[in-house]
Amino acid sequence: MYSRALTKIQALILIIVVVVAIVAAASWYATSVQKPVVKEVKVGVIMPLSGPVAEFAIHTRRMVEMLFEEYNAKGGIKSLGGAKLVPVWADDKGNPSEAVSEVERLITVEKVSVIFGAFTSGSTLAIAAVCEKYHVPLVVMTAFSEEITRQGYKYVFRPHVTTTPYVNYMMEFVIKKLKPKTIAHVYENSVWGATNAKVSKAWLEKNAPDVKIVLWEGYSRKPPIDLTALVLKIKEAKPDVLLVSSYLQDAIVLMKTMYELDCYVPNIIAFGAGFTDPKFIKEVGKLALGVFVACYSNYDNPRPKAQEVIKAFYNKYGYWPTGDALAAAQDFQVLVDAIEQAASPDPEKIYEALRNTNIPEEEGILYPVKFDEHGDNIYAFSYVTQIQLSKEGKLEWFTVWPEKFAVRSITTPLLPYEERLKDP
Amino acid sequence: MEGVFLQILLRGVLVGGVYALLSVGLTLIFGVLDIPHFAYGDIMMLAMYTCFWLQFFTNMPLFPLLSIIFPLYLLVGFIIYRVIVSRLMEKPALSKILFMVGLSLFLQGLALFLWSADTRFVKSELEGLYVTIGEGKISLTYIVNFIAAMVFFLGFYIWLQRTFMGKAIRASAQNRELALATGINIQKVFLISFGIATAMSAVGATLFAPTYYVGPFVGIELTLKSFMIIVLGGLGSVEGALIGGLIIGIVEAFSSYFLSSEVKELAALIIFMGILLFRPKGLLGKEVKE
Repeated sequence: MYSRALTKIQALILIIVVVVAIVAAASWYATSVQKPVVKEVKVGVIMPLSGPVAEFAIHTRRMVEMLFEEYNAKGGIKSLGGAKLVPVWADDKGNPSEAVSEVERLITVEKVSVIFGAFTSGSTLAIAAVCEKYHVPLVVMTAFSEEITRQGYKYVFRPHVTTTPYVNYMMEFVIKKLKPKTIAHVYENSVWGATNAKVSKAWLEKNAPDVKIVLWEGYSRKPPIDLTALVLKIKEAKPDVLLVSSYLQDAIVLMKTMYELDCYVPNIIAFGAGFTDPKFIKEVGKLALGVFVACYSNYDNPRPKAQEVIKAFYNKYGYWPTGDALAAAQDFQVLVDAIEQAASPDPEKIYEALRNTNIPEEEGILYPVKFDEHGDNIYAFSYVTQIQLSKEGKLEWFTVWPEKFAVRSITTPLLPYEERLKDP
Repeated sequence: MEGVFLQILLRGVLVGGVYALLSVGLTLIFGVLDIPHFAYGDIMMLAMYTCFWLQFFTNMPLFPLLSIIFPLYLLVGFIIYRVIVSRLMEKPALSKILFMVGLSLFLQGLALFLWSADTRFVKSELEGLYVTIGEGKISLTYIVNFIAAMVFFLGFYIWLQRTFMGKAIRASAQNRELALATGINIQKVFLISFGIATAMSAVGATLFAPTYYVGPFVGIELTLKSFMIIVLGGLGSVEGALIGGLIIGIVEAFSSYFLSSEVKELAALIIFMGILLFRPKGLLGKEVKE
């Protein structure tokens, strides 16, 4: 009977149960330890760090560097317990084929979760295909041309304004306030300039068919940039309004060559870019007085979130951020918002979060953000500024359009050269 | 339209004068040493970078820079001759060509490695100043650089004609064996020629730099342009370098107006080939050496 404490079978069962319990506990522990704690989310940042566009891209680069630093300093990715947002920098040298190989490397070797880039429209268009292929989302940094979001790619998102709405706001200004009878456009011949030319021409043909197009010509930025022939054509065409799509060096050469060849036009309006760079005003001085510059945003933007970023940039670097830099700040806001919403370094989850982005009016740096089926922000718009003398007598950009954001009224036409260059 | 015509012509002449200075060194090297100096433009590239970095660190204006560039590159020329070129003199033509091409590639790679592919710009302190010509304005830079180039060119020409060394150099170019026979120290002639040629090209490059750009591959373009100019003017002819330079400068200026800026170098090349068809020795060429 029960003379012993346990029978042989009871002992055997007890041992088996204990062993099974131990094995179960051990394996449960092992698998729970294997579940990774996310320490960082890697963002592939690609833009021109050297090469012909680098000088002009540096303001945007500084903005992006500042934003990454600040974000981590304020506690990193909160939904992942303070994980670090790690930028992995790559240099495309302003060259689309270089951009493609760098992004391939960022995705396949560095294993980044999302790509942020590439500043120029040419490179961004090229890398969009790569991101689409690997199903890694691309948040467009600053690049303008709508070609980028018209290729049918799902993984491309652009929070800032693109060509069509920008052209709408800009051309509305031109027709309503400058009232030209003749119009011309000179543009650099990469994707950016060429797209500007195409879209603005289509706008004119549709919305202002009575305005006569007297010159619509592209030029090459291969050094040494010589615009003599082009300026002579402008002089002969005599437009009332001259549209210009130029990066920095060519913007400087254009203004100087126009002066040298005594080519006067009553109104010049630029598609941002080179004309928004502080170096432009420094190099051409008073020749720029009265030039209109359409832009993503100026530093007198009254939105509170915009002023936060603008002042932070000024405090860190000692000068006001350019429109390109502010567009990049808006892009960055959407990027980190999506990563926070996704709470994961998984590109697919970040893609889903980007699709569902819904940044409200009071939060958005430049505007609220919600994406349409192309990946463009339905709320984005653009401004027009004019280079005028500040109260202290310095040349600066002042927002003049849309009228509800204008800080100054416009002066038109441009002064003749002798008067422009006179000391006040 | 006449005002514009005059302005374009003037621009062409002003640039052409600097071209003449750029290329006269090469014609000297060809005439005296008979070396195909494919690295000629690359040494000019180094001179332009020297300007850039000197300006970057000291903010020196262009003309004081010349007083550094000339002696510096005279020395550089001497060193290159002593260390490299003198050993090439007796080698077959193919070796000379291969070596100089190799030197050219080496210098490009070195510049790329040291200073990256970014284009840089040299500033002239005269940039914002203009002179009104006809209907338009020409930057003072072009005018002053032209005058400086002509001063150097003329100085060089007088030196060649009047001094003993200058005559020795011309003698060696005309007939090397006879020059040796009359007791001219041929090694010294080679050394001085190479040095002076390098220094002149460096000065030319410095004067040219504000109107162009600085990059590691500028050398190839400049070598090509210089070759074109001296072949056009006649290998070994100093006057030819001046004529060739002016012609190329004017052709570039006019094609830049009538056609477009991209094709101006192409136009110069076509004119060059055209002239060679009718005068294979070049306009003022004396003899064609194989």
